[in-house]
Amino acid sequence: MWGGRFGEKAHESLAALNNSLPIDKRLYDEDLTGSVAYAKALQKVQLITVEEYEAMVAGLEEVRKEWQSGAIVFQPGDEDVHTVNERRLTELVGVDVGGKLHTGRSRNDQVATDMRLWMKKAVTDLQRDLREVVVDIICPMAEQWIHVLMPGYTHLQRAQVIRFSHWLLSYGFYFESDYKRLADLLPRVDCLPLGSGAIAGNPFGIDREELAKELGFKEITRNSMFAVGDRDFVGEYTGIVFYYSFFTLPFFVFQWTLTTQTVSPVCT
Amino acid sequence: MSRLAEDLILFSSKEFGFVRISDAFSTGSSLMPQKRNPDSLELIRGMSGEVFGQMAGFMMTLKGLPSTYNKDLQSDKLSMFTTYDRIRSSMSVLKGVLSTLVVSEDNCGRAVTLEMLATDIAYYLVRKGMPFRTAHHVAGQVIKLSEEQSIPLHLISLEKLQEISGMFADDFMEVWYFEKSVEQYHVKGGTSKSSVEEQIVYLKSAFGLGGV
Repeated sequence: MWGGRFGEKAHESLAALNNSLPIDKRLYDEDLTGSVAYAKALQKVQLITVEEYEAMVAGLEEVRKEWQSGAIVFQPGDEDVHTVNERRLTELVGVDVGGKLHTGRSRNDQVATDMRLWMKKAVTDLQRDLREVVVDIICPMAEQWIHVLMPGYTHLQRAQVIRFSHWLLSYGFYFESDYKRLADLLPRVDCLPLGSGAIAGNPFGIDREELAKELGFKEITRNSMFAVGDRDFVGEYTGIVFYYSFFTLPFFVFQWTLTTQTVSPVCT
Repeated sequence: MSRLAEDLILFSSKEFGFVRISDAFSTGSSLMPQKRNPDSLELIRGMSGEVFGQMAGFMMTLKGLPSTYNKDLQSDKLSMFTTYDRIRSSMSVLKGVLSTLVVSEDNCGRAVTLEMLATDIAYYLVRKGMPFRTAHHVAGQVIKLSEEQSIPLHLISLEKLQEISGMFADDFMEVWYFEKSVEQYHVKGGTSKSSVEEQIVYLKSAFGLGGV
């Protein structure tokens, strides 16, 4: 794929370290969707003919079917998901058509696009989980047990009397915060990097706004260097997931410090 | 999530016994036949450590990189996928634990004790016109008397209470109703029945917002 200027192949230890396919193969669907849209953008600026575009899209959809059915076969030179998809496309439709897909595109803007497409879906999945646990499980439980009183604890010592449901709902509100954090993240993920090339942009007059519409992005990134280098959204995302998973302090030997003597309540 | 797991682990222990985790989400011990371990919740608690590792690892990779694309960024996908997988599988277990959780009303009720109403003694006096700081001190003296003379709080005679403060009157016995104690917190966000119901109504409608 990039071997033109090289006299010898990469050492096998480097090839092994460089190979991201076992992990990024998970992006095959997003990668193909991005390529279908990019093929259309190429056709619109007449870099490929309508016939070439149609052959390209048919080929890409064929590759998608192979992934879905498990028929896709990796070759020794496949170092990532982008390589697999383009290599397979070229095998299916020939280099005269397949070889034009990557015109003006770089794996730099390609992978950033794939990741953002994936993350938009992931954020929605996580939000759905949060909605379900709160609305379908925590709220009905809180209704069911609303009459139960229990001790509320501060410093893990009995503090004031509370309702069991009040305690339970406190976690409903933690989950609601997670939901909102994910919602806040979305606008920063929902930006299309494609059309930024390797660093400087796209020299063929690609309509990026149109590409964004095609791929369902609300915005486009406004600087090509930012577009290919930005991974803040991944940091933010893992941070939000961390809050969601939130840790607690190490477990004290709480049993020994508790008031074990209980006085029968006078009235409840 | 791990804090909820932690509370549930604590509350499901014999010492508390507030809740019971179903068999499907507990495991036994290979040695001690009596054991019922809340492994499901321990795994959730442990998972957050792994998620932290992914977050910290990737932030460290990102820190100080030259501008635009560098191959260091290849690790972004591992962090992105791992955190997604771990949180979703944990959430799926948490949903199961919660859906099958049994609450012990008796054990919750037994754990509620009179000294937890100490604040209410002070609030009683505040409602009679005493400044809160003074009332807090007086309530402390009542607790001290109960401890020193080994008299349960609600059995201290009115005479003895009046020796501490003349503001104690016949209606003081109403302080010892736990339900009444809870119901005074009818502020928004409080623990009274109506406030809790309001929270439920809010949460049920809060998840349509935020744009997905």
